[in-house]
Amino acid sequence: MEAVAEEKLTKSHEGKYLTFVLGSEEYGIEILKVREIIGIMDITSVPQTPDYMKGVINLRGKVIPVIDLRLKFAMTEQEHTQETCTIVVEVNDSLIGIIVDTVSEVVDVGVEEIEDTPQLGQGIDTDFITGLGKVKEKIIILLDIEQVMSTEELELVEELAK
Amino acid sequence: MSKTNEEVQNSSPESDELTLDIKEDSEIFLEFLSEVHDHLEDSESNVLSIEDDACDYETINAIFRSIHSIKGSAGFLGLTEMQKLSHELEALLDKVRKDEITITQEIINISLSSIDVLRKLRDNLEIKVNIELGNVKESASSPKEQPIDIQPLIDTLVSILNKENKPEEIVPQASSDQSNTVDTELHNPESPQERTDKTNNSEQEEDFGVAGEDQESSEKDFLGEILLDEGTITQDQLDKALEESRKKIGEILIEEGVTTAEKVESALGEQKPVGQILTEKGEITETQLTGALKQQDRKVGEILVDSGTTTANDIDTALQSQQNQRRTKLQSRTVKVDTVKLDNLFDLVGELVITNTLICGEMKSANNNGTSKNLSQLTKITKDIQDQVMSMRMVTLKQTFQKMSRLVRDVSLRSGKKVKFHISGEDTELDKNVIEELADPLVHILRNSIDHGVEAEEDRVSKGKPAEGLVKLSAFHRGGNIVIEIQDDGKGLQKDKILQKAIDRGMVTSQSSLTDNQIYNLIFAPGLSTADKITNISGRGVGMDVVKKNIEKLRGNVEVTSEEGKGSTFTIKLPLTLAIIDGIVVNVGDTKYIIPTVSIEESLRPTKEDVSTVKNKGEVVNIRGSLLSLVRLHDLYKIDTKKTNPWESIVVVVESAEGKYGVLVDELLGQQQVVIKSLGDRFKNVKGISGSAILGDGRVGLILDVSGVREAFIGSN
Repeated sequence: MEAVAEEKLTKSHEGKYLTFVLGSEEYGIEILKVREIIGIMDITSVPQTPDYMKGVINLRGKVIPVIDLRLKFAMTEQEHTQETCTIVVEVNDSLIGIIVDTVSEVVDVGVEEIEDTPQLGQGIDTDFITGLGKVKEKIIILLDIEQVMSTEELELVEELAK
Repeated sequence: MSKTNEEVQNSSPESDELTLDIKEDSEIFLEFLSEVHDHLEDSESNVLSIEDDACDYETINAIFRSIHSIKGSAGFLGLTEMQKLSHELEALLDKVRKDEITITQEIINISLSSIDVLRKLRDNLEIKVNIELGNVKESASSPKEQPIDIQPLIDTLVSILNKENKPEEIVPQASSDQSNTVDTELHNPESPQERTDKTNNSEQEEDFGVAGEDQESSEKDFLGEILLDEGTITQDQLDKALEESRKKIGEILIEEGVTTAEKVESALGEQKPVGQILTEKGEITETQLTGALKQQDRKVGEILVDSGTTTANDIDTALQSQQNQRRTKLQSRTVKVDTVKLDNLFDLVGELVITNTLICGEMKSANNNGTSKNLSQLTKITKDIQDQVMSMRMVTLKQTFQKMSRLVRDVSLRSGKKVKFHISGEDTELDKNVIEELADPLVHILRNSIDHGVEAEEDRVSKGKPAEGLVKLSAFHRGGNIVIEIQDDGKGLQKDKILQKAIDRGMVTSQSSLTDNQIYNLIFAPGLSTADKITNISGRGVGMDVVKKNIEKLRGNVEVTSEEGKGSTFTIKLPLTLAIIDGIVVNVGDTKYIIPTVSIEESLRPTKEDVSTVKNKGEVVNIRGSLLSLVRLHDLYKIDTKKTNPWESIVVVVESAEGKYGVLVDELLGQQQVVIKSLGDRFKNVKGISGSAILGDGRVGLILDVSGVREAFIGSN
């Protein structure tokens, strides 16, 4: 296990990222993990799930879960606007949708442009963040989407066990 | 086979030196794993069929070819252990098919053991590949490679190979009842032609072309070639016989001296069949014509036997081989498709149907004639595609039943009883997911039948039963379901013993009167076993209730009937497909739920007076005198809805395994057949929701599991 953790630290996080906005911050997800971007669809809510688990949607015949990332990051929920999108990502061989305020663009983040994460305040567990990218004068919080999803699963199991 | 770990050191899987890298050439490895699996399944079933009835050349050859393939591929990939073992087995099979070694029980046993070990080696490789490719993360609970020592098996094989051969013992024989059905197979598969056609002198394309092809590669379909290969006849004898069978009616008549060549010629000039013309002209008589026709109709085999060139026995053997070859040729017309692709296709087709329905709904108002005709055509085609795709997920029971053959053989050997095993209906098709879950319950029931049902040999003989026990496994369609029956002619269930055990365990009171059937079906209750001693095969009382649970998971049910002294019959009923469920769509607030029709008793709108609260029991609703618990779904699942008064909404009376109760919903929306979509692991702990389905409007509905809802309800109070 130790060898794996070390490998993670030294692995380069450069590459293309899809950037999106949540509140006043801009985040990025590795483009290779993004399957598609769709508008907001009818969500069927599933009972006995955490707040941020909004429910499931019908994606061309497949039923996939949808998460509100704002709630997951302990921000206040916002009404959906014209710009609100669902980013469908592929994590651990399954698809999951993430609701974000707006989707910005795809940026290329080079290795020199990545900085290690400083200790931020509460709200966001820094395990989710692989680094901060500085692109075009903006700071993009690079997310490790697999980490985000795996803790979500854990919390779900705990919640249901209550 | 098991040795201590130290002795096993030198044969751990690491001693294989793979020639290719698993990650880089993953397709080759996955292909290999799949092929070896199939080869081993085929070989096993072939060995078992040799053990059961007769063995014939073609079956032995098939096993040889399978093992030969495994040896080749294993060698190519550097899997030395697999290659070594299959090499020795191949050598043994080679001698058997060349008749240098005769088939004995020992050889059959060693073949089966070798197949088992090859399987284990293959499984080890699979584990390794899965870990390398990251399909499985190595952890304490992940499957591990099992160290296997192949040396003892190799030693035994080598010793058999070096033994003296005794050719006078068992010689491959064709079973005798084949000879009746054989006649149709002798010629090429031509449709039954009318006799007049045959007497016509148009060329019959009987391609009895004899090609001197390599034994292993070609499809030997022609009886003559097979007999030639087996050395039973010579080329000359075959040619002569072929000539005879090809003879045209005219030639035969001339040879018989019945008529002359010129008369035949003139008859040929006309359009009618030669024989008919000649008869009309009075040149020959009816009887002469019939006689000549009989000669023409003679099949190669008959001619050879009549002329004393070969014996009926040899013909039978050759015919058996021809049949087997035909069968294997038919089987190879399939394509292997990844099940993921099938599932994806299935999902897309579902969407296609929904979109189609939506368009049709919209077009109704438009009333455009041309479009509506095209639309109905589109609907038809879409429905056809859906049916085809559904049928693609269906798989026959063949493989599952074959596994059972092997199991029955092993269990009966271990328990020291002689058991004959009959299979029927293995071509019955089931949804592939159902088949996977079916194997375990079948194993349990079969083990029970042999272990507890079938009596020991002396016992049976003293009762006047045949020494061999009979176990029958059959599958068939009945009333929209698949029925699988397991019947044994053993000692049957002992009603009194079961009842007594049930009373002892407090499951039933001694006063309650149960019908015989109800008593028999008590064996499915957890913890009940009337076995006096526990063997390691069964008797612990955990088998049958697990069987029942597993079958109910498949939305099927299992029952047993029995007659003391005569035997028992287990009947498993399964729906044709797991994927579709019939349900009533209801809504609660904004969310639509689907309640499976099988769980619903009735639905009604109660009056205010019918609903009351009982201390410690919560809300109840009075339905024709009985008080049922009322479960408010909006409350349980925290859904916003305006309809909170039962007398303004609908109460659906459902029946779960634990009893009836009423579910409060806003309204009933209709009945629908929906395709079940699993919600995935994420939601597997949500009590009361067993899955989801895509409704007619494209939205997702949640499927209620009435037992789970009850659990959730009780838990929340």
